[in-house]
Parts: sequence; C-alpha cells; structure tokens
Amino acid sequence: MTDVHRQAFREEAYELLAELENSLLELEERPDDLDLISRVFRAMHTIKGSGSMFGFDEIARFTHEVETVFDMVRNGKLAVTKTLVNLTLAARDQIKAMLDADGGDFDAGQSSQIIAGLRELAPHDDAAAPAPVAEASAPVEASETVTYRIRFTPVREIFGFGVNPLNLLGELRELGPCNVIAHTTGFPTLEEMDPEQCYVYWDVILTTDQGINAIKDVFIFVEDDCTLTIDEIAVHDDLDHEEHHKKVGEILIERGDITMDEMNGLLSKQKRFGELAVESGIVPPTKVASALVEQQHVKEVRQEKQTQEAATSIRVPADRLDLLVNLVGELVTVQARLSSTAAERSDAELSAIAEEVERLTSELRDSALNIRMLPIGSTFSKFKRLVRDLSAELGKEIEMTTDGADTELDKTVIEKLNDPLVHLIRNSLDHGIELPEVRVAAGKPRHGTVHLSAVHSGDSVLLTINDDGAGLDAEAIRAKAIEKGIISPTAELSEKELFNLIFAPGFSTAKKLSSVSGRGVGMDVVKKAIEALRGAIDITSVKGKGAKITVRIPLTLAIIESLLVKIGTDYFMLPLSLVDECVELTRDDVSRSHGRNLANVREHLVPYIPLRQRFQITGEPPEIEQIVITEVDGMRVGFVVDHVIGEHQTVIKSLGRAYKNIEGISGATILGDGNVALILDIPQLVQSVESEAL
Amino acid sequence: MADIDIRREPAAAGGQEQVKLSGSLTIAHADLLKKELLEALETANEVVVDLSAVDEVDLTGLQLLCAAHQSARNRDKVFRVVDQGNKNYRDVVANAGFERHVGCARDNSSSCIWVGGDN
Amino acid sequence: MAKTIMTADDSASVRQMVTFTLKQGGYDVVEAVDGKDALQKLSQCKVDMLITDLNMPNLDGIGLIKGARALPACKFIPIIMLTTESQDSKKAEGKAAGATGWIVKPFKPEQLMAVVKKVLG
Repeated sequence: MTDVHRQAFREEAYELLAELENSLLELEERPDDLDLISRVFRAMHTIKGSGSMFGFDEIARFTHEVETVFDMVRNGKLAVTKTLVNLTLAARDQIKAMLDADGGDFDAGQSSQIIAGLRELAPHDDAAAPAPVAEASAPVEASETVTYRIRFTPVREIFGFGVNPLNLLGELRELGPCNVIAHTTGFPTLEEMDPEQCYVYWDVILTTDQGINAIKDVFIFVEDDCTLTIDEIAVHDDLDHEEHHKKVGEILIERGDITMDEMNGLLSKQKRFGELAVESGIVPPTKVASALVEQQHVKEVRQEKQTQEAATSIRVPADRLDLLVNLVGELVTVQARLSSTAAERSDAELSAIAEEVERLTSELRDSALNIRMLPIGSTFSKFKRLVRDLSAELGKEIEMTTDGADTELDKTVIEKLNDPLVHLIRNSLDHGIELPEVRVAAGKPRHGTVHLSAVHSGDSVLLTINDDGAGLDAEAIRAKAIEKGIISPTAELSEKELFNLIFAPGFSTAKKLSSVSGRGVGMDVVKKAIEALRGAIDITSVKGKGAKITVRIPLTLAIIESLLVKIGTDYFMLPLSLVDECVELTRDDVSRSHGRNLANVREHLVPYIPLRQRFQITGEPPEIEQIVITEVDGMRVGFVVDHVIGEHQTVIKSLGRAYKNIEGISGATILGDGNVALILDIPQLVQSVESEAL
Repeated sequence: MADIDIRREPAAAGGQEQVKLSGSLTIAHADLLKKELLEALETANEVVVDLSAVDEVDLTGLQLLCAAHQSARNRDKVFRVVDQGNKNYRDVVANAGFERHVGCARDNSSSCIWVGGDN
Repeated sequence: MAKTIMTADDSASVRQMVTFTLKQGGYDVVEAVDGKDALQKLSQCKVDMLITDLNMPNLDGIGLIKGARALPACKFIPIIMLTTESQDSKKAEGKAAGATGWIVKPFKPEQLMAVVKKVLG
C-alpha cells in the first residue's frame, strides 16, 4: 500500500515541479505578483508536506529550506531577485533529481550548495525541519495505578466546535474503571435554554495505570474550550490497605464544594454527613452523590486490588487463626459493654471513644473472620474421587461436575460440612442414579450426572446437589412412612411434605441395605448436622428426571446477627435470619384461643410456643407479651417472650461439655452488661414440640 | 443524520398530553424539540414523553428533557418520560452520567426523570 | 449506515492516502481539491466529518472552516485540520474559525484513524 502512495506522490510532485518551473519563469518577469509567489510557496509546501508523509525525508528536508525562504517573500520580508529565482530553479531541478533517484544516489553536494546560497540570501534560524514520521506513540509503560478525580466543564459553545463531550467520556472509560456523574444543577428552564449550548459539567472518577498524560490527551482538542481539573485522589500501591477511606466531607472540601467551617458546623450534629449537607442546603444533592460515588469507586478499586494480591500469601497454623477469632469474639463482647456503659453515663468524651472502638472492632471482626474464609474447592475435589470409586463399586456410570469451587466459607464450616455432603452424594449415587441399562431403557444417556455447586446468597452459601437420576417416588415414600409408623395412613401430605419425610428419623427407602448409604445412618443425621451449622436443607424432585438437594449454610459460625429478647430476668437470643416479624399477644388473645396456642396474624393462624412455660420460668408474664414469629422449613411458628429488646451482634460461645445435649439451646453469649443470654435452637425447639404433640 | 419525528396527542386543555418521539434526538433537531416540548407544557397539565422508539439521542436531547421537567415543576405540572427499556436511550443516559439515585435540589417533588431507571 | 467523511487537500497523494485509510476503516469518502470545491460539495451532500488541509489554493483551510460552520448541515460536525505547521498560531487560528482538532503532518494512517475515532466516537 505504501508503494501505491509513494507512486502517487511522485506523479504529483512531477506535476508540481513542472508547474513550479512555469511559475518561476513568470515570476522573473512579474516579481511582485503575489498570486505567483503564493503558488510557488504552495508547491514547495505540498512537496514538503506530502513528501514527509510518504517517506521522502531527504526531499522534505531540502524543500523545507526553499519553503522557508518563500514564506519570507510571501510575508514581504524578502524581495524576489534574479538570484533567488536562479537558486529556486536550481532547487527545483535538484528536487527532480532526487525524485528520479527514488531513494537512490543523488548529488548531495549540490543540495548543500543550494541551501547555503538560500541561507545567504535569507538568513534565518535553523528552524525545525520536518521530523520524520514519528514512531507510533510508544506504549506508555504500565506504571502505578492511580485514581483521579476529573472535573470537566466545557464552554457553553462546545458543540459549535464539532465536539461531542460524550465521546470524551467514552475515551476516559477506555483508560480504566470509571464513574461519571453529570451535574445538571446549573440548567436553565426549558424556556431559557439554548438547545444548542452545553450546560452540563462532569465529575469523573477514573482509576488507570496509564498516567495523567493519557487523561490530558483525551482533552487535547478541547484544552482551550473547557475548564479541566485533574486531581490525584489515591495511589493504589502495595501499602494500599493502610490508607484510610476519605469521608464524604473531606471529598467535598477537596473539591471546593463546601468550606471547612460549613462542614464543622454540620458535624456537630450526629448524623451521616452527606444527608446533613443536603438537608442544610449548602451542597446540592448531586454534588454529594458525586462525592459518594468517588468514595465508593476508590473502595471498589482497593478491594479489586486486594483480591489480585491474594496470590501473595503466607501460611499460618489454623489454630492461631482460631485463637484470633476467639479473641475478637471477646473483644466484641467487651466493646458492647463499653458502649452500653458509655450510653448510661451520657459522657460525651467516653461516647466518642466508645464509638471509635465500636467502629474498629467491627472492622477487626470482619477482617478476622475473613482470614478464616477458604474456597470450598478442595472439598469438591475430594468428592470427585469419591464418586469415581463408588460408581465403580455400584456398577454405575456416573460423572460429577462442579461449579462455584471458589466460593468461600469459614474454615470450620467447611470441615463440618464434609460428612453431611458425603452422605448426600452417596445417597444420590445409590438411590438416585439408575444402572446404565435402566437409564438407556428410560431414554436417558448411560452416563448419570451429579452436579455440585456452591454460590453466595446474602450472608449464606447455597450448596446444591443435582442428579439426573430416577428422582423421588412420592408414593413409595408415603407407603414406607406409613409402614414405619411415621405418618398415619390417613394423613394428607403435599408432595413437598412427603419428600421431607426422608429426613425423618429411621426412614430408609433403599430396598436392601447396600454398603454405600444404607448403613443405619439416615438422612435425619444429615439434617441434624446441617442444622447444627445453623443451616437448612431442602429437597425437590421430579420423578424420572432427578432430584435436587439444596443446603443453605451461614458464612461463619463464630458471630451471628440475632434478636435479643427477655423473659422474666433471663435473656435469650433468636437467630435473626429465622425471624420474620414480631406481634403483640394480650391476655385477651390468650383466653380467646382457649389454650390452643394459636395466634391470628392477618387472617392466618400461627401456632406459638410459650417459652415462659417451656423453660419453666416462674413469675407472672406482663399484660402484653410479644410473639416473635420465625420461619422454619417453610412453616411459621411463634415464640412468646416478655419483651423484645432488639438486634444484637452475637459472639457464640459453646456451652461446654456438661450442657452439650440440652435441647433447644445451641449456645450462649455474654451481653454488654455482663449478663449471659442463651441462644435458642429454633428448629430443634419446633421439632420437639411437634413430636410431643403427636 | 436521521430525522426526528414528534407526534403529539394533545388532550383537552389541562389534561394529559402524550408526546411520542422517534428517530434522532440530536442537536440538529434540538430547536424543534424545544419548541414542541414548550408547546406541550403550555396546554397540558401532564406531559408524558414516550422515548421507546428513539434511535439516537445526544447531550442536547438529555438537557432538554431535564429542563422540561424543571419547567413543569415551576408551573406545578407533571412531566414524565417512559422508555420501555429502550437501550438506545438508556445507554446514553448511563454513559453521560445522568443516572441518579436522588434528584437535584430543585426536584422538590421527587419526580426527577433520571432517578431509578425503571418505568 | 456508513458515515461520510470529506477530505479537502490540494495534494493528490495525501487525498489518496486519506481516502484509502478511511475507506479501509469503513467510512465513505468525498474528495475535494481545494476549499472552494469543498464548500461547494458540502452544500450539496451531507457529510459527518471534514478533514481539511490548511494551505490550499482558491480558498484556504481557515476560509473553508469558517464557510462550513456557516452551513446549517455543518454547524456541529467535527472538523479536523491537517497542518505541517506545528506552531500554535495556525492551530489557534483554525480553532477560532471553528475547527475541532488537528493532525500534524506527517502522520501515519493509524494516527489518522485514531483522531477520526476520537471525534466521531
């Protein structure tokens, strides 16, 4: 392609040179003809400009000298003389010779001689000769990653320069993660708006490793048509995590959107700064929103950076981590005491310290728990082996697929999950997947598949075991349950309820005991183990198509969000994840239900368990009691307590060996004031009440 | 540069007017768009701009919609946009940084057309 | 629909190179040999962008930019000037006339495409 253009240039240059010769001869006769002078200049200009474009650097350099002289003539600084015309004609011949040579040899001495002559005529600085085509801009070396705040305020008339500011924003996006906030506050009303002018200005928060010059390059054409400020707001280097996150107020001050005095005035009130700033009317909401975006952006980039750096790690014995988490647990407890003491004393100074400690503690807690988080992948690979060995033993062809192996769970949870998961998978292999011949007869591939997946969902992880086997036979389950006396022959149960019977103690549908799953431990043990992890298990199935078992497990065991309640002088905790709502229970309500323990909540009857009776707590209940309604296995059950105190961060302490088997209690915690609160095991309580009722 | 099509279905004075925009809401047609929006706001009490058939929109289009909303507020009238999730429009709103969680200081009725994103 | 770009240059070789490069980039191209030719063609057909040399006979680049901005159809299109002068005076003159940006000669095809992409989006 270059050759084509070179050839085109040569042809063009020959034409120009022929024209040039004529112009020069005419110029000799009419030395004042401005039109002729500019024609000569233009010919030289074109030869120089186009020559440099297509690699005729020698010609470009040489012609530049002649052009410079004629620029002076054009501007009236030099007169056209016979000498000049002679020299220019010689130069013209020289250019032709250079073109003829086409990159080969030519008389370089002649060039120097002509240049010397021209310079004598018109002394000038050795002005910049055209540089050879610059190498395509060298890639900027990846330098450190920096977050910039760019405020871009184009002039109103920007559209008249053919500039579309949206393209510039698009270019910024190409440089790295980018948040764009348009400020519309200065807009006039429709009546006053000139629709062809630009009223917007932008804040852009950009994280890039391309350096500030790459950003400036984006705006190179509009430098004079806008106000542009680029501030470095964070450098993401190795020390990143030691930096603090800027507060919204700091960001607004840096941007000049608010003064220090205004901020301090606002800070004396106890509220989120951003809300205050808006309410006060000092800063428009869009500016605060923009500052918030910046704050968020920096946080995200840092997190991203930290994930990337996770590869560089150190090994620490697990028990040291456990110790750390225990200590953090103690700290959370003490901090709660500090906070409540500070609140009681209404001492401002102490409160300030308590708040600071609270913030630090919660950060410390989160990061300590985070350290113990491990990807579940290692467990998954163990199962692959298990499936391989077992399917051979069973004479089945089974493949195991997994996804979400990088899902993280607390190390202790992963350990405790191992046995239940093994059991569930064995069960799928044994009862679920059919023998190859059976599968083929049913029109399925010989190969059965068991799919194991893990995925985050809120503060839990969902594990699913999906097989494409025979599925559950609801009728077989019903028959078996009746035979075993688990349900009465007349019981009307939904399919879901029937499926859930397989978790009932002493239930087994296997026709004969195989070495794989029928070892006396039933699914009830699995369910208990999952519930001990404060998890839940659910099964769905389509007959002939397969079954899906879903296990929901909380991320960590050490600390839970819970609802603190009081009965008499005793405190209890209910895991918040199970709590639906709280309603009042009056004495009238109780007497109306004639001892049936049913509450009418928005036209639905909800059974409740009076905990005061259940735990045999002496004393009189208050006039109005509270029912905390929970949802367990899709069923709503209420727990009657005296008072609901509120939500609480609970560090779980085990009760110790002596109290290990107390029914309905899963642990204990120490409250801020030093009191002990017992943590209720809701599913177990519901179960034991149900079994008593049967 | 495609054309713009502005189809107005004026209601009786004081009622709701539907303004269906299609084609290019770009600077070349900005004057026209301003004129039509102003007229709609003069007569109707509620103006609903339908953007679901818009092919192209630029900054001037976004500016006009925002200004029209303000003018409507000043007159105690209602100005709304519906877009049926039109990507041609939504992408530009997002790229231009117009998406909002809260309206501007003058949005005293929480009716900012950039808030949310789902109609 | 492919966008149309006009190249106005009195140098046939530069026009050829610009046209070739833009067509490879998927654009339609209209050529003009000087400012007068360009202005006349602009009033007849619609273009999405103009790339013009500054030194041209009949009507120079600055004159062309001013003339184009006066046409309703070209009021807001991107206009890029090709300049051998790297002096700021020419750039400023062009900007004042309404140019969007500039490319300094000599340039490579990829530099041209980068600028086209930058202003056309």
